[in-house]
Amino acid sequence: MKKIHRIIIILLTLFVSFVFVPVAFAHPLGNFTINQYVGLNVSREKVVLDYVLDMAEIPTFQEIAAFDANGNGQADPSETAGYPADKCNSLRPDLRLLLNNRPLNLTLTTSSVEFPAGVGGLPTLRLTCKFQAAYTSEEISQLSFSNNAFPERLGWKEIVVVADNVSITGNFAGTSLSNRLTKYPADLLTSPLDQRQVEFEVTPIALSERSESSVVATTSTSPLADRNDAFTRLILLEEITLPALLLALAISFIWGAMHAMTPGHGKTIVGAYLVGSRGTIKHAVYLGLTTTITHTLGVFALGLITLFAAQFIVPEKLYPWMSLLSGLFVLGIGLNLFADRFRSSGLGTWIQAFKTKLGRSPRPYSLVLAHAHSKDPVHQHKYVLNTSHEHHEGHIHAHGHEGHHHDHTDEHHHDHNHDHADHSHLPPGADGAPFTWRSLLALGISGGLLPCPSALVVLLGAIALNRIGFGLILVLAFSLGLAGALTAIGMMFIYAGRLFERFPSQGKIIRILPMLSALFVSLIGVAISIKALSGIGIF
Amino acid sequence: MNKRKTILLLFFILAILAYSRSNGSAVDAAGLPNAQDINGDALASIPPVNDAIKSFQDRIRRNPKDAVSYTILGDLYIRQARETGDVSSYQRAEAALSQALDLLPGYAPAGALLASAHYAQHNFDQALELAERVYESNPKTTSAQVIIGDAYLSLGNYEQAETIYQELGKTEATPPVLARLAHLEELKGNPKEALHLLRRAAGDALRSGGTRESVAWYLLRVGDMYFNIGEIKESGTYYEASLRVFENYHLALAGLGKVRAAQGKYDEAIAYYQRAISIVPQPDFLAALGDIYMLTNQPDEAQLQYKTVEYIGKLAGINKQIYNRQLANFYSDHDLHLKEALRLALAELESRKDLYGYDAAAWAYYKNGKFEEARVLMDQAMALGTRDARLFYHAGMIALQLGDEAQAREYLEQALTINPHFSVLYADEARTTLDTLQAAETK
Repeated sequence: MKKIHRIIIILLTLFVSFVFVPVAFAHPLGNFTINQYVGLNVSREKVVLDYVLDMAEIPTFQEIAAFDANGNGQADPSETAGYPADKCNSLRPDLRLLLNNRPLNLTLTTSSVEFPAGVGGLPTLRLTCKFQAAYTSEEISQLSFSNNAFPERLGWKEIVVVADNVSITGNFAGTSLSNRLTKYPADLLTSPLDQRQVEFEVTPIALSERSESSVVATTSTSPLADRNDAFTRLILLEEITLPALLLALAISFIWGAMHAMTPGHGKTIVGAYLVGSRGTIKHAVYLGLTTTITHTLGVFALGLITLFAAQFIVPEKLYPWMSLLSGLFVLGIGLNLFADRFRSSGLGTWIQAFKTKLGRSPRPYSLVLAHAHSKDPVHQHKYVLNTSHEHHEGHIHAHGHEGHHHDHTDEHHHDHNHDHADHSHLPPGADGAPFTWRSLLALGISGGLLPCPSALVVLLGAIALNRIGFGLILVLAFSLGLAGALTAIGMMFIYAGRLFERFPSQGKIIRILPMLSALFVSLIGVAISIKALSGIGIF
Repeated sequence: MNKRKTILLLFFILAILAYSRSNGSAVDAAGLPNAQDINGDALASIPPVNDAIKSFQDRIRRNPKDAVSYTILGDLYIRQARETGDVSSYQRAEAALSQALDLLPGYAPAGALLASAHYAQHNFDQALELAERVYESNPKTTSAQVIIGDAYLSLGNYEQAETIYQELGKTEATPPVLARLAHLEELKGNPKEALHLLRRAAGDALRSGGTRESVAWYLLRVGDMYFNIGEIKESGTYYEASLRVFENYHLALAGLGKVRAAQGKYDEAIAYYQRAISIVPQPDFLAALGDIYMLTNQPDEAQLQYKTVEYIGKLAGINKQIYNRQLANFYSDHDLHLKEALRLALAELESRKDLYGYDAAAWAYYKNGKFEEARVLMDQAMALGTRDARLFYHAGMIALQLGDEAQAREYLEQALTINPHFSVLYADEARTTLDTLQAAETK
């Protein structure tokens, strides 16, 4: 199972490298840039300055033309022999290193030049200069460095500071983001560095502490380091062929089933409920279907929110609220069940008597079919638009008033209907506990209400790639997997429950089992709600 | 108590008025800018483009599905490209905007910006197609409409461009629309109207507080127009104002180089061009600098600049960049690779039939000794009645080669009347040719 996960992640990483890095430049900017890197190695008695100059094609051409004695446009070895040292020395005044505000003298130790091929095989120039400055460090020394070479030309300008047996504090980078101008990050989210100066304090470390030479407060935060995209790149096949599609669907299904095994999707609730109410396979399947539909819709809804309201709502913040809703749902179901069973177990007859006194008469059955219809958001839309004849379109509303003014969410619609539907048109359970479709529906919804983040990411990935249809199928398969697992668990409980009944001695337990299960469901609802509240930050 | 309040209020109003006047002296009562008084201090509040880019990169890193942030990032990359002259920023803009459109298909602002990035890279057909699609699905996107007009203009469909610009001008006479109406007037040979519209655009931009670069661009364009009608001094004041508003603005530096060269201050001209080139080595800057070196007897320096232009041409061939026409004109002007010049100019004319495309091809034909072909294309270039000295000079030289001396004299006279400093290389030649023609006639 883990393997599949990993394969998918690898696939997605490949996809990301295609999509997220559409332009790769030899140089971070255009081919006229001049890029510079300065590495300062600070030790107790000296500072070693590692200077790298990387010129793109056009400045390289101009540079070569300036020393091209034979005019062939090439940097011949005879022409470049003295070049690196001369160039390094001519750049030296632009590299200013100050110790306690007094300039330090830089001496050139080594220098070299190369002409790596750039665009179309045209040469670029890479000059390396090593300078050194000796100093006698006091208790605390203030070092500052500024690079004033090529001030106006665009280019990557980087300064890195490394401590060698000293402690340094300041605001600087400790590692090179461009690997000394050999690999420029080419993604959209990394701007070329523009570091022209740096200041820091140097404290010599006592001999005994030497082994623990440290760099303090290095505030170099690589913009690439805090990327956590393991899931942001779901689903992506290069080509959608039939076998690939089937495989993808199978993987989604299995993944969904796996997801059902993780805490939070109400396996126990389902089990407890079905056992308590003596459910049948039919109920388990119905439950599974409800969960599938709710989960799919939930993913779409959250996906839409993420797409269109991302500036206002952070989906992560929405999650605890949704799980709170889910928890309250479960709690409601549990309490409702408990009340029903309490009533029907004989202890509650007085409640019924009380109710009849109040004149609450039984209402006609609510139509499950009508609910199923109003679940479909598209359908609902049509409904709202054709306000003039919707009442004659064959849809029976449990309540006739103001039906056409409803343009709320489906959820609301449900509640609205169910609040008025006291009675079930299903036969009561064998033990007399009313086995209502509506509580089953509510249970299914609670199981699927909380969209699984990975499914959401799959959907968003699909939208990003303009493969919405594919994404929908995958999410559906995922939801089916989820529901399938829940259904299977439900069936297991049902069979296990039937096994129980074979032992006559357990009769008493069976009598109170429905109430126990209802209590259990309520407790789980409370637990989920509390957890969600703590997630929100209220608890 | 009430009295004191009234006095305070009056004082407050006066203070605001005084403040706004002190700020508004850069713009006169008619809303036109006074170049000398412009410094752009009132524009300081907009953050530099690089800072803005970083903050939106952070936002996207936190929420990688944020299509709106991607759109703004794309917009900022376009701004960066304009400010720095670095064409590769347009590619980044395209990538960011495509990302936005992937996340949120049909998002009109991203579509319109993507079209403008295509346009800036001279992918006119692509820009036109995308902008039309955006505009059809969302007719409120005036920015898309502007791009449609621009693309038509660049492709030489002047009538369609004019219809669109005028329609836009009726509903929203913002600086961008005014600048385009001005350009249209310029092409139609009405420099006075063009200048008035453009100065209005610059004044509006200055008052409404756009980015420094955008205000500097309007001022630069005013400078260009003054230069093109031969008002060199006025042109210089606008270029200077542009440079004050936006420090190190490469286009304004090059403009000042052009002005100083026209005034015969070659050392200053060289210094300005060198500054512009140290920021971004654009081929037209390098060529102009080379020309001044030639004029001041420094052929080695000149050759170095010319060779760099050719080198950029080579790179442009590899990168398919946007300098084809500039290169064709450079080759023709300097009698270099004339066959290549003709090839480039004709290839460009294939996809883009605007008047400067015809002019470039005509001039390349002329340099290749094909005067009849040159004349046919030159007539097309002048069909709109554009009063551009360079066009008249080209037409005059072509007429001369075809033996039509009267026509040639008229054209050359026109060229020198419009702008006696139209070219460092050719203004003198135009004068001497005209002198010989006039001398021949009086004989």
